[in-house]
Amino acid sequence: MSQLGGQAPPPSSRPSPDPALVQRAQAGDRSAFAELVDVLSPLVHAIAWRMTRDRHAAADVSQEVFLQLWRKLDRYDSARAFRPWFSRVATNTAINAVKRRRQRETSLDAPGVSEANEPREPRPGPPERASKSERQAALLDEVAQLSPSYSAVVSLHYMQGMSVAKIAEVLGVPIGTVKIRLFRGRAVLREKLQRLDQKNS
Amino acid sequence: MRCQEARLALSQLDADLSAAGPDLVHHLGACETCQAWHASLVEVEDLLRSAPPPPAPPPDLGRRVMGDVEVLEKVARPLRRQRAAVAALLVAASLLLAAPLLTPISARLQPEITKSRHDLAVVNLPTRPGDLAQLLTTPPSLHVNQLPRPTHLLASTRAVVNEIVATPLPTSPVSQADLASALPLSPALTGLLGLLTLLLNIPLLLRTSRSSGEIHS
Repeated sequence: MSQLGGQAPPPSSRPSPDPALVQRAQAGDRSAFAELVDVLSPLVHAIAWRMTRDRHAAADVSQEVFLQLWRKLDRYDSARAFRPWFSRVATNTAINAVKRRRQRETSLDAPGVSEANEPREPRPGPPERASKSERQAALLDEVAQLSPSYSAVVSLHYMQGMSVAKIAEVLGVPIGTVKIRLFRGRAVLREKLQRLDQKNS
Repeated sequence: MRCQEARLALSQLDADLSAAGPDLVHHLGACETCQAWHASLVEVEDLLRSAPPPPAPPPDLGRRVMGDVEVLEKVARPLRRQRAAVAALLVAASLLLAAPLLTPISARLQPEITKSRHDLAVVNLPTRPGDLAQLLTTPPSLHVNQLPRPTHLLASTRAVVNEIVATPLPTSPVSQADLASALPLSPALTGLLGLLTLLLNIPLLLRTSRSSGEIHS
């Protein structure tokens, strides 16, 4: 898995875009939109990275998210907070983009080979007794192999620190649906981790 | 409680088990296998929560996005213009279709106003369902200028409508070739010419059939 040199700042330190900047971008000012992209790209790229764990795929998904933002920006109601509206657009676009990527990849795969069983960038096998960081990396790879609707929920809740209620609002689904995705995703990841441990023991 | 039931319940609870029922707590206290099972669930949550921060976005992401935006705008603008033109034409054609159908109603409501009223009614196109109802039920005493006027009709649509209303209805059918020479549409939209030709000829067809008594037997 290829990593870039720098690391994104934690969510808490990410600045919210200036409302005036959003309004200028909304009016079609491309330089303002470029600034908006700069401000929001760490957040968007973080979501895309968690859901793909692939440098190129995360960049492509981020691009799709921003293009969708440009298309939909005129529908944003400036009387409301920008961040929740943007999170909704970004997360749903990212989920759909990852779904489309997987469909394309699946259609290119040989019949019977599932992406869930065949990671795109298989990492070298861990040593006999995998360290915590190695097990964690393997687990995060598995998160990216979950169905995009599940990986988005797991990433937003456990890694972005978003509450279940907030995720439900962002995705536009009931709280119960988010809980089900979260618990099922967690159960699948537990099994994957257990299989990894059995394989290494 | 059996192990299977306990694990099902555990998988639907937060790792801290604050909402666990007494049966589950009792089972967990006695079953080492389920304790290990729960511990592995907790470990998954810990590993996810302590995940390292994601890498920074690629430095050229903004440039790539703006390149996409530029391409999108180049493609979208002409398309939007073409769509507006086609929509205007379809609205105009629909009006021509509706005009002869409205004639008997307006004549019944206000027999003294004939073709001129009809034309003005078309110019004062009702653009909302309520407006149409008002137009059709306007009492004879109401002056034509008091009819609802469009306020949100596209300027281009209005221009096309005025142009068509000012032009006398054709006495012979419009051919597709005539329409093609009058409307220089892009190749992708030439398929619509047949439909437009048909729509434009409908008033003439209706008028012909009405005069020969085929519709009103």
